[in-house]
Amino acid sequence: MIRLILENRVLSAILAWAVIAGTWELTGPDVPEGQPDTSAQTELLIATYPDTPRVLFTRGALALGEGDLPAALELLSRSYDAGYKEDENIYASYIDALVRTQSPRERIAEVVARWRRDYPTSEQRLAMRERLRKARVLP
Amino acid sequence: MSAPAVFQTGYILNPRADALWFIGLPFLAVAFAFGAQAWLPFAALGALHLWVTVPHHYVTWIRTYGHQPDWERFKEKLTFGPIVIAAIAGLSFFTAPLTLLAVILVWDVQHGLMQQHGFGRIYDFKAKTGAPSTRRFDLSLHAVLYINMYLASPLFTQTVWVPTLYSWGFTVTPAQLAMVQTVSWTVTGAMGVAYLGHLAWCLANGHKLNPLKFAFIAGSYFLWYFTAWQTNSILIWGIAHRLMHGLQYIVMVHSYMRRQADDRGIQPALTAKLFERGHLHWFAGSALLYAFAYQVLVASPISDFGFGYVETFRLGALVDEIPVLTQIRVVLIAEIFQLVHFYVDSFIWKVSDKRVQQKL
Repeated sequence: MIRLILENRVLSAILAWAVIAGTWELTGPDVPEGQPDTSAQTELLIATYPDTPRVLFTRGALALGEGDLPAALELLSRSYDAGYKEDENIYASYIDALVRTQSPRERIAEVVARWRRDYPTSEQRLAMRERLRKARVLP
Repeated sequence: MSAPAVFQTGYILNPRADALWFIGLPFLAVAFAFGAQAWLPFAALGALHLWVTVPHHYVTWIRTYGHQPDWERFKEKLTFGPIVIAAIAGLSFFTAPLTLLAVILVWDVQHGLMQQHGFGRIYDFKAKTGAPSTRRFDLSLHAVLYINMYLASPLFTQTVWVPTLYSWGFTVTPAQLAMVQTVSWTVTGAMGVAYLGHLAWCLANGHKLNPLKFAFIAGSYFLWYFTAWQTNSILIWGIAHRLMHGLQYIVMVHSYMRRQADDRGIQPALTAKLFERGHLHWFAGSALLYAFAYQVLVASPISDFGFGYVETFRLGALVDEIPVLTQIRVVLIAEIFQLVHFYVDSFIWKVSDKRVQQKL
């Protein structure tokens, strides 16, 4: 048995890790079911990395949700200008903030163009473009 | 009277190929990743997975299941290991999905650092440099540096270990996070001092050093640390890492098998065909064909090859109507392929193995 474990050290270690983690997951009292509440995690990351593009986007989206448009515009703008594009929602949020603050159309068109470049087949973008056209924000 | 030489060079392949694939590639990969960030859709990350990562799994299968001597030598491990892994992954997938993610995360870290450690070992082997204890110091250095990247960098703190802890129901305070990172950096600093001490000991005891190994290690950690700290971008880190990890591996396997083909020939004949001189297009073509087949098997869009510019269409639409079966294909099968690659890689590349040494 010991020889078998020693001959398969990596697999044995991974097996042991899987057993420990699996036991904890199935019997541990604190493992949340379904989607965990991310608000505490968000607060931690905001406190630790307030100015990374990812956190700027998170802060901007939160400000937008709270109706703080100047803060949302400033934070989302900084995240966008830093090149953040991992979460497609940044484009929708930023355009929302730009439209609601009556920002220049050129800036909105620029964000839509970058959205097209970064997510060329996005259905969310097509829907947003349609809304912007109907609202006569974009030609 | 001249001072005794401290350095002794040895190459994994040859001076020109090493300069490109092992010393220069990290810098080229970072440049490509910045270009992708500036000009390509986010889907470039997924495309690189298909163009590089999946083919690097394929060459593992060729090197083992498709190469008679290694197949015969490791038959038991190559047969039962994947069954055990598939069983663990399947059981976790249905009963404890966080466990599957935890296994993948830990093994991915081990796999990532072990590949660079392995190449470092080859540099010492080729140059006949370092002391017998160098292997342990190298491994410790890689483990500490690589884990420090995960624990201390803004990128991995924000996207990997903190979210993982929260998904398990743990909470972390800013003070605890700062403490983890301080400890990580302290251990890294101590390791750096210990490693320098080991190098000094090597020199004092007449063991020469291969400067290319250090250039290789420095280039690798430049890629990881620079992108994890300075760019804060999954896209940039992911593309640069996939290019370096995948391409270096593919080049290594190709060189290893080519040497085997030149020395003794390869069985079976179909595999030999891939490594004959002038047959590089067979090798590359079969790898891409494999990636295509893989994409069909895991029920993912073929359009993923297109860097986001190609409209999505799926093969196997009928299967997609069964959600659980789709989940198994998209997630479980894909993860099993990755885990089996980690597993097989953990025993086929022992640089201390005489049979491996013959073909390096």
